[in-house]
Parts: sequence; structure tokens; C-alpha cells
Amino acid sequence: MNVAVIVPAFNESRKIGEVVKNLAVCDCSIIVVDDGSEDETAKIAEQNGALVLRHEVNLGQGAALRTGSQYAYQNNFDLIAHFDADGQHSAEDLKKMLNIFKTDKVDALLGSRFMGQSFSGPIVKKIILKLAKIFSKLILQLQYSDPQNGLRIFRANIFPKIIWQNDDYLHCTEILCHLKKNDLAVKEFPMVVLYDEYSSTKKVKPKVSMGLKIFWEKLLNRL
Amino acid sequence: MTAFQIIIIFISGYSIFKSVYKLIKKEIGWALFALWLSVWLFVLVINFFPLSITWLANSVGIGRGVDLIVYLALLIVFYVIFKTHLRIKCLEKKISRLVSAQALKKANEKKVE
Repeated sequence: MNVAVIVPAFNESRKIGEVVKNLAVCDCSIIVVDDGSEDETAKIAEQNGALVLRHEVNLGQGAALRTGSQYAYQNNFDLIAHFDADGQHSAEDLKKMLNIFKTDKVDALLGSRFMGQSFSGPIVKKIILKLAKIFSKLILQLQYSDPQNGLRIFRANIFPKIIWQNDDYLHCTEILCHLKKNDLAVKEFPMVVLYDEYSSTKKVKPKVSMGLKIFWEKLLNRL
Repeated sequence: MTAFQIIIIFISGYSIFKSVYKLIKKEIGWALFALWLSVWLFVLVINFFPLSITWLANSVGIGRGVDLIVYLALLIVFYVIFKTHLRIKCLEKKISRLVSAQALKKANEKKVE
């Protein structure tokens, strides 16, 4: 199967080279979307063999993933995977997830940190993610165990049905809403997020304010 | 006539002059010109006949003329903020589409090379 792994990156020069190198085990096309970085993210990604798409200004993770996915869809890839640029996702997990598509008839496979495996991240993050899960269940009736997880794979042919409008982190929730609305076959996969010193220094995401935004979007019937 | 009234006349006159100038230069449309003109004419009327605003306030059930002005000003400010917010959101969307299209175009051009 022809697989495109979309890696949205904003000022990730410290990690992007390693991430792209590690993804080589997946035997797929690596598409890094440089979201207006001011450092050498694009150059390093290219040197390590990735195809780089560049946003001239920073739009947000959702926008970068949309551009990359659009490219993969236009270029007739079979599967589109979303993978973080800060080294938190494991290429081995992605490989295992891709294998599931060879045997199972699923439209989308979502990574989950909360399927029984231990969580090594900061406690604050765990609380926020758990709250996000409850919030998604109550407000949006989404039954997924980790709605804010950025690791996902979906068949390219469903991209027009799930194309998201949010440029920021709300795209995670929006994608899940589209999957549900279109009654697509979705499964979850237990994965481990690797929290290291580098990723811990970055802003805690998702922010609590995202909950308010989800509520607002739901009120306006945009989700 | 008080000094304050004279200042208001100058400010209103200048604003109307600027509106006419911008209309002639086609920097604003007729709708916006009409809106500005009516706002400043309203200010001038109140300036010359201060009691008229009290009469207007009483007729809509508000005690003091000043209160009516404050309520109207707040309504206008909220409306302007709302419109500005919508305009910014619309612009953000357009920029997002443009930046994305540009990235895809460059990537496809690179592929052809």
C-alpha cells in the first residue's frame, strides 16, 4: 500500500531529523509540512529524505495536517498517517498500525494512550486529557478513549468526507466528529507517547480553553 | 455657545469633510458614507439642541439623555467589535487557504522538475 506520513512541524529543528530517520522503518513517503518555522526545520527534514511542503506563515497544526493530507490525496496515496514532529510518537507503533490495514477493513485507526497501558507523561496533562475525554463524551457523544491523540491513520478515499476546517488543535475533535457523522469504520490502537525533556518543555496541549471552544463550536453546530 | 459646543462643531465638521473626501476618492462606499454622515449630523443636532436628546430619551423610556447616548454608544461599540471579529475570522480563513494552496503549488512544481 502507498502510505503518506504527514508530519506537521513548527520550529522542530532539534527533533525533526531524528523523527524522519526513525520513520524509515515504515517504508512510506514522509511529507513534512513546515508550518512557517523560523529555524532550519525544513532544511533538516529535506536532508533526511522527507518531502517538504512549506507554509509561509504559521497557521497551526490542523492547517499543516490539512495541507499535507490534501497533497497525499491529490497524489493518489492509499493511506494517510498523521505523526507528531516532536518525537513523542513511535515509528514502531505506526508500523504496527499500518499492518492492521492489511488485514482489517477499517477506514480509520486512532492512536490511544488510555487503553490499559501505563501513562508516563506529566500528571497535569493526564488530568486535562481525561477531562477532554469526558467532555467529548458528554458534549459531542464521542466514545473514543483518547480524543486528543495526534497519531492516526485513515484511508485516503475518506479524506473528502472528514476534511477539517479548524487550523488549531481543535482539528482532533473535528476529525472524530466527521468520522462519527459519516458512520465510518473506526478502531483504536494502544500506543505509547514518549515524553522526554524536550517535549516536556513545550506548552501543555491541549489547553483547557479548548474545552470552551469545543462547547462554542457545538453550540454553533459546527461540530 | 460654550467652548465644548465649539469643539464638537469642529470635530463633526472635520469628520463630515473627511467622509465626503473619502467618498470622492472612492475609499468608502455610499452606505458607509451615509452611516458616518448620519452619526455626525446626529451629534451636531444634539450639540445645538441638547434638550432634544432628553426628549428622545424620555420618549423611549430612558430617564436621562446622557444615559441614552451611553446605551447607544455601547450598542454601536459591541456591533463594531462583532463585525471586526467576523471580518478577522474571514481573513484568517482566506489567508489559511492561500498559504496552503501556495505550499501545494510549490510542491507540485518541484515534483514536475
